[in-house]
Amino acid sequence: MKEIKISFEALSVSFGNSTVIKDLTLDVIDKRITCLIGPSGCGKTTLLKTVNRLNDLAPDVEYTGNVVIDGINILSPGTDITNLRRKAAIVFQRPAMFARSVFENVAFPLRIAGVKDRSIIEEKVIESLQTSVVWDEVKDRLDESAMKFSIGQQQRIAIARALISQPDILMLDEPTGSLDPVSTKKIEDLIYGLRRKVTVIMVSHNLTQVAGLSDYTVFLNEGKLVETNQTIRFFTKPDKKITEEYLTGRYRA
Amino acid sequence: MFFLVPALVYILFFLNILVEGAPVISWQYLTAGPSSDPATGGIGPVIAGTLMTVVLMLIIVVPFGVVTALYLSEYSLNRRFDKFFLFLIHNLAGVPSVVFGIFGLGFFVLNIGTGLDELFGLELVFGKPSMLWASATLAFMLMPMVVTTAYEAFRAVPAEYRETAYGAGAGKLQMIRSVVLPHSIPGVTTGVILSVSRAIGETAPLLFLGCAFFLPSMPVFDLCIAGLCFPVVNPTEQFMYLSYNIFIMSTQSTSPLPYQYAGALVLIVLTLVCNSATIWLRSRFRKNLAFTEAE
Repeated sequence: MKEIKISFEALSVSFGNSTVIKDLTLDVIDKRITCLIGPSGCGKTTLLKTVNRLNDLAPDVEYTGNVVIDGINILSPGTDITNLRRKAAIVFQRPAMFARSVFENVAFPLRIAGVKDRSIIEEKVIESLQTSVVWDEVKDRLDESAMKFSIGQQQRIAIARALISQPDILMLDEPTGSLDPVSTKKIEDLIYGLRRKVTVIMVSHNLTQVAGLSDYTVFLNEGKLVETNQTIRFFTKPDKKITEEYLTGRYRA
Repeated sequence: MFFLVPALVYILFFLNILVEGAPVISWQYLTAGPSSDPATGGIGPVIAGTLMTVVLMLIIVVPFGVVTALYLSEYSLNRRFDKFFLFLIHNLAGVPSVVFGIFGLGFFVLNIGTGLDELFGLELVFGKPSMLWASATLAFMLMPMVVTTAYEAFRAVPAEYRETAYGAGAGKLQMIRSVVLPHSIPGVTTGVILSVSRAIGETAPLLFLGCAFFLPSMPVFDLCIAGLCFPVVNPTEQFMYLSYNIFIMSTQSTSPLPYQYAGALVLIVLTLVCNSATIWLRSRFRKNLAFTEAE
């Protein structure tokens, strides 16, 4: 059974005078992997940052329309943003390891949430690192600075940090954008392991990755939704001509 | 080969001072109080006064400077206002230090000091030139350096770091404490240590602020807390300062030449230690705190 996790309803997002997302309506299916593709600057990252309201950090952001998660419009004024951000975690292209140990990096969201019990924290850190398939590489070095690890390992530690508060939604913004092929493969396997467990929304420019990994593909261009479909269908029989052009590398902005 | 000229001049200059001053340097010279016979006297209280003044200055300049920079970087959301404010601060850095000395006399001593005395009904405790107001004046003179370097260090923390912390549900203060401050320690420390080496070398602003060439001893009193007594330098009294000491020795006193050189040598070594500490700290932190760059 396919349930809808996130509904974007006529969503527009603007910063000052520039409208980055225009009248976008889209459903994201629960516990599936959805990939966002499109040319740079088409609003993919803004769309991710709308889901956990990180766009709010810009003072001039304005939303119209609704974003409904589990039946609640998260753009309404009374939204508990802290809770929302725990439910919809985000990982960026650069792993952003804090200047502290691996353990403390992964435990960070729990510390922020005020969890004090050492045994609970330890248990969850280990579980998270195992889920993100980096446990074997870091288990003997948990107290070392996270910045000493390779960027591929750091990215998996960053995913462990995002998973530790057991989010329903995991957003990945070009998670393999700066990784070598071996590290990329590891991250892809890790993401594949999360399907059917977490709703994953991933931005990627790597079409092979999108085709191999995702259940649904969404094509955005200039802030508008061009086409969305099951990935198999999206890549084999796209509805729109512009989608076909983009997939075959003939699209010119 | 022209690029070697400045280095060569500096080395010759340093060697000259080293050769002339080193014979005088001894444990006694570094620790004993001043005396009319230079052979039995020393500059202990002068070094102590210099270090005390600098520590007091740090107590004032670090919180003020860092909080100002934090406000500009994290709370003021108007980058144009930041630019304007920093422009004003930069201009402040261009004001000659002697002007700061006069400002310190007028503002701290005659205004705030006298005001405090009146407020507490004291007889000339705060309302006279003293180490306290000299430190405060140095602090305000070096504030631009601390604010600017701290601001740059805060702005250099990449957006993903802030967003990752916010994304984990952190509030603004939690984000600043866990991300911005730890990641900007190298930059902030650099600014602070540079301000220390500047302060050690300053003379002009201290001319009006209680600096003395000769005091028989440091104004020390015993501070007793719960039965335990510590000797504490009284910051509301006059003090001795190394750079000022050298200035007077070389212009208005009959101290033998080697003693003048020795004073200069101690000053240069103190500044060198500060600058080397900056370089060492920076390289150490850079290794541990390098932001992950895309490969």
